Amino acid sequence: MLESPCEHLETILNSVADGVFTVDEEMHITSFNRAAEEITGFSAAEARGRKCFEIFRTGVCNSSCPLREALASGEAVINRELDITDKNNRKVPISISASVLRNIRGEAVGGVETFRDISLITILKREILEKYSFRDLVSRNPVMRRLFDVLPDIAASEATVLLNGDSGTGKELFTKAIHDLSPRREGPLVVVNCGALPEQLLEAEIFGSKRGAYTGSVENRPGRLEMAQGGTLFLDEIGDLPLPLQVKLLRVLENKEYQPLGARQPQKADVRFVTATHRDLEKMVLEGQFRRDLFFRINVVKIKIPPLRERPEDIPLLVDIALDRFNQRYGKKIRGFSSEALQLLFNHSYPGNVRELLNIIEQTVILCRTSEIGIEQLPAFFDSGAKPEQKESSPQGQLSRETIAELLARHKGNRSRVARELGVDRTTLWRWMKRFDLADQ
Amino acid sequence: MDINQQVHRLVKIAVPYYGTLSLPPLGLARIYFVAKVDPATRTAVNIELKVWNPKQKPNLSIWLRELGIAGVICSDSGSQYQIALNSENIWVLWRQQGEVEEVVERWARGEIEAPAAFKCQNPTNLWCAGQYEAMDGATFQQKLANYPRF
Repeated sequence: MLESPCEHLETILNSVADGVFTVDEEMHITSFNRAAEEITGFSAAEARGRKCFEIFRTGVCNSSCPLREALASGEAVINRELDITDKNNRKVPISISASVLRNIRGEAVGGVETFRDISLITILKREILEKYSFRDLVSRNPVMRRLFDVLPDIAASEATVLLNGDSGTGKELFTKAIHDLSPRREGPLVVVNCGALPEQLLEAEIFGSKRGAYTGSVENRPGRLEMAQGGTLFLDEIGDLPLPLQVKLLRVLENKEYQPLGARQPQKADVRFVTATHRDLEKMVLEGQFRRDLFFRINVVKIKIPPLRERPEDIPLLVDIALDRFNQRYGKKIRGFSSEALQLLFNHSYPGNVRELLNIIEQTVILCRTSEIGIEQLPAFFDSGAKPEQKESSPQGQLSRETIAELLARHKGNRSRVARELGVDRTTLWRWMKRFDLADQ
Repeated sequence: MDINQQVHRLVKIAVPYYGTLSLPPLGLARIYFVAKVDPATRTAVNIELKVWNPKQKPNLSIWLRELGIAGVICSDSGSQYQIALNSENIWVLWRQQGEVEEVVERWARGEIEAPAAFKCQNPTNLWCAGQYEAMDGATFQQKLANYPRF
């Protein structure tokens, strides 16, 4: 039996996998296909005649409705992502396209909207993320996965841990995971960056000082060791610890005792130590820059964290996490990177590691005005195809003195800006400056 | 040149990053692991990430063929896209779960069940020339004996 033109159109619409609905000029729903019923949970009979915002209940119905935009401008809105609330009050992420519906004379008589349920992709990505997440860390790299496997056992012990990895590889996150999994999790986790302070200040910072210990010391000041009592003390960049302080630290590790500056009696230290460095401590021992006995004391359990360039398979996962985080922070709805931009992200060597990647994504999210990040939003060195290792000169794989000096001059000595451009934190930049005698700039 | 040094032709296998070849309703996966498998050792000697750019190469199967991909291993339960892949002389193994290295080496060791029949029509494709059966693990073992070395 032949269908009427109207029935035929309905059959066509119902066979489309995307949700399709039409509205009149007052935004009353006039048709609603089967896929729309499945995605929203409302039947066509329930939807027809009602205002579309009553059915879709998005956060943008009153402010930036894609259908109203299309009706007002006459231009189609393509692939805009937003969340609707379905009949069972569940959030459903959808991708919407909207355009004006015209009659035979070309007059606007309403609008048509097609939409796709993209929750399957969201679920798939979430499942992958959950599968490869460990505490605040994420990786699908076999070396990293093996580290995740042994981390609970390491945490359960009282052993001193030495984390070795380049700047930005997540040494602090590893420390947090070790602390959170350890019997000391109820105690504090205290961090000291040994490369960030001059020797005198660092000593007082770690061991504390008594009133009158030095000029200007007007009160007793607890050190980080005291603050970490019952918990974990994380000594970051321990390779930068001056030799005299290495002796003091060795005493703490051996005797569980320390003496604050100006104190007459030693104090007990009930602290678990986690240390970290990006430097080759064994080489430093041979060169006489690091005490052999201290090295053996801290090198009980050694964890080598691979740099990001050795685990590019983590880049898509980190991109997904960062996009979620920065979309939320900056109120954006960015779906992802274009294929060209993604390929450039894969080709980059990341001297600043995960921190650099996250900084790049944050910057691009801020600059992006569309739903997809293109190569034009990436930093200039991506566009030129130049890889940062071409600029590198030092054996540690860091930048040359000239490059850092040039950046400091360009940013008028603003270290935060230089650090941001290099994708490293201010402490790392400061350490590099110190090494290159640029600290006075 | 050391004439005793034999260089093996590596077999390239593509595995979608998120496991599934199709990502409904957005279409086909864009990010792939490309694993180079050494037929001699049956191990993945190198795995890298590649991004398919639909704007530059609208046809995924042609892009995969141009990369020199012999087969695709994915976790989906099968789709009509197999026809397009097979027409480019690329076989596909569905319903495979696990890490990329794991699934690729499982295939290389002949531990994966035969996929749907695949007829290679391309006599210039050294890997599948004369191959009229599914490229499953058992066939792989057989082929190893006669596989040309370069």
